[in-house]
Amino acid sequence: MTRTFHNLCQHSRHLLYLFLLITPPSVLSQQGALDGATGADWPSYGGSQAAWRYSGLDQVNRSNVHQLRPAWVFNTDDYGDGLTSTPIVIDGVMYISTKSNWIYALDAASGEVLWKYEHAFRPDFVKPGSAGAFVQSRGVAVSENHVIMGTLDHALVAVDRQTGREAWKVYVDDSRQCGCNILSAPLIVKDMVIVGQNGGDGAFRGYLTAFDTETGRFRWRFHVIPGPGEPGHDSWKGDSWKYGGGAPWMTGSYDPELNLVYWGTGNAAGDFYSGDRTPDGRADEDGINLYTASVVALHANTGELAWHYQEVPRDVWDFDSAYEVILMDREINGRDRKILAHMNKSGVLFVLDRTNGEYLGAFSTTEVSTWITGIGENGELLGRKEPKVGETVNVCPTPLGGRGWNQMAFSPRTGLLYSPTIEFCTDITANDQEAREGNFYSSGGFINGLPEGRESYGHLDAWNPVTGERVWSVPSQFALMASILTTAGDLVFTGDPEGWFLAFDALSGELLWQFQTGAGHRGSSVAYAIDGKQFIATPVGWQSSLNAGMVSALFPGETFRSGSAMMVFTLPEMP
Amino acid sequence: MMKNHMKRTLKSALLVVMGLAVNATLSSAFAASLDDPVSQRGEEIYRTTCSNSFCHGPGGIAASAPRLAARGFDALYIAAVTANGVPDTQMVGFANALSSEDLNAVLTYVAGLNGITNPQFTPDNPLAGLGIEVANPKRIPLAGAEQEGRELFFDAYDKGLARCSTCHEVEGIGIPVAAPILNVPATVRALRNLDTAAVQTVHLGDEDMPAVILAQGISGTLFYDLTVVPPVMRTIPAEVPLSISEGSTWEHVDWIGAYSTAELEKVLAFLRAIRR
Repeated sequence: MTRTFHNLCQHSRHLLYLFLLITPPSVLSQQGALDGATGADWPSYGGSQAAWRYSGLDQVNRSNVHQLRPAWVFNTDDYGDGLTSTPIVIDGVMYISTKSNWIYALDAASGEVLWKYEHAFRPDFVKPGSAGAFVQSRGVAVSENHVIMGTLDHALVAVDRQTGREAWKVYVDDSRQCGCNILSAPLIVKDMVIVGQNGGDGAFRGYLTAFDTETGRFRWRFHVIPGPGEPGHDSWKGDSWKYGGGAPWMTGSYDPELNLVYWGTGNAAGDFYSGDRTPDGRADEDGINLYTASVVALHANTGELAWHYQEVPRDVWDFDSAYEVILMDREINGRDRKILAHMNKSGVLFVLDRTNGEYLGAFSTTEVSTWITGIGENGELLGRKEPKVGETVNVCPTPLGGRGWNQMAFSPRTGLLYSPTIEFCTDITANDQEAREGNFYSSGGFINGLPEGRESYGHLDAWNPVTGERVWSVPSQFALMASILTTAGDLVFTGDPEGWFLAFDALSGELLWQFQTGAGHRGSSVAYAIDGKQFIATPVGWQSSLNAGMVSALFPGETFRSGSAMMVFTLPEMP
Repeated sequence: MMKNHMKRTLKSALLVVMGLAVNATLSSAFAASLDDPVSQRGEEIYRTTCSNSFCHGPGGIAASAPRLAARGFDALYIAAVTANGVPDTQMVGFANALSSEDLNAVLTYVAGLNGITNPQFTPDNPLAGLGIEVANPKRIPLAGAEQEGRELFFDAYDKGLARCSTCHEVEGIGIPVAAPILNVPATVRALRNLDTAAVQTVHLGDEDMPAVILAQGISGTLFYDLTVVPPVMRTIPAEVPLSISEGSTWEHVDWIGAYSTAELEKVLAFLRAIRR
């Protein structure tokens, strides 16, 4: 059935989002500024702890990218639902995780298997009616001695970097009770490994937990929803704090100078109905359902909250703010500032002062947006168009996101953020579902479709995070569901659902090179070097569950090829 | 037999055609069979548990999981799949996840979506007489202090990591760090002063740690490290020097301090109740 969406829901984002800061983009990074570039290694999920997904390598660049050739291909033998991870590369060894929680260590120059680890699951670990049935693994974290992975049965497991033998395993929670699991890559911070969990749409109270990287021993836990007696607890009605969601289901960032950990948190649950979680007598939106749909900054040593910024107070659209937090230093109005850029599912990108959470500005990256009419001077959401119980309300973008969890990249050379945007609207019908511990708690359903008049589903954009200016935009027939990589060669890499691995000019958006990899892209490409030779690696293998059901509206009639392989490119040897 | 099979196939085909014809408004085709209180309750359970934007669609239409309405399913098939799930898919069994009343209701509702107007499941035990074996027995109904004790045992909110199920697996929930609870202590005092001879001391490098040894062999030693909550399952390779001595300084009372005496009384009542 073809669904139509009315032009009424379309408007120009330029009329709606007033960015307060006007300054020319700086071309080069500032002296002494935070350096989030990677070198020969790709040591962390976001490249560096600043989550730039930017490689400082420039051997492959705009002038020679057309010469890229396959160097090696590795098939994982785990073909259930694609390969969605970010490979970690350290000292010439690549570590990848697959959807069944296998870890491979590969020789990053040849693809030869050095070792393989298979996680042994607890029996019947999926709670019926919960989010625990989702099957993915988005990557590992690597400490000095261990490769560490979150699992589908909600354990954190560390294996020896040299041998692949299990060193420690700790059950973060019982997946059969909480209905949650771990799909995201952990983050290494000093001698700790920090991890959140999947379950933002469940009747569950999300948290981040830090463990000792060597022993697996508990260090601290930060509950996204404050408990009784804690500041912010009164932003929840009755016992709703127990089931209010907020799971921080992606990977955070770390600023070693400020010693602060930054993490995006999930939406409040039930997703589309807030009547059961809004305190009586609270007519204002500000600070309702803390600290869901927020960016939180935590003291790294203790996990204590330093500051928070709630992007979507009393969320009713399933607009998680769980996505990556990109740390950068930029000149704003003549003043060097430590800022962060953070996009949530609404497609709105917020810029905050990362020392204190001060709101600096925001702009929408989707071309069609109706969930609000604008953002106020202090970041407040104006003209909220909310779902209603028993009625169908059309809003744009969708609970699938103006962008998926696949991540943006930031280049200090261009000063631009590169982001894959999805243009979709949705019909949401809310209900006043009763919470049951660990079960799905969506409080409604939704059906997606293209905004009227649009024929393409997405675009790859270059944004100036300081001015909110879109510098260039390249349309994509299908939504881009792979992360972005950018490099000092002024290149932007990503993959599409049809299997094309693409390289664009970071300055202009011109397509410079493409290679058909044989299966769709849902993972995150990286760059690294061995003995002075640069490699570009991309996971290949479509997340085939995206072809099904309500999500299938993303790609009507399409069944993109699945698979699970790591494909690595390099320049040919010089004669 | 062949006749019955053909009859059933024809019935299935007819229902599939009906389903295709009405598509997203399937539920209205069977409105007459879905307006009884049990089916209405079943629709509510279905809507909140099975149809939530991520699995089946509203009214039995397809979503991320297959269509359920007008598929020609018979009552036995509906009950078997709902109870035990479908292997190697995201459809897990709900026999232990729903109360008998709710299971009966949702089975009745899905049966109605398939044109079965009177499926005759037994309300207080809908799987009875169908020959369906459920892997794990359902939680027995409890009340009063026993039920309160159950909630305290698994309390993820007020007790958090300090709850009993961090180390004990009961009724299929919890991490089995400790051996199954075979003997329930007679008193709270006994519970606090539990004999914990199974906890030994691992000497590793400069560190001594209380531990539950799981295995020791030529490849190494596997144990739960009880230094802090939650316990950590550690594997120390044989080439790393390690020794084990009997006994430890670890005491049960130190790990159940989040519970008051009154709460522990209820926990004991719960443990006794499920062994009756």
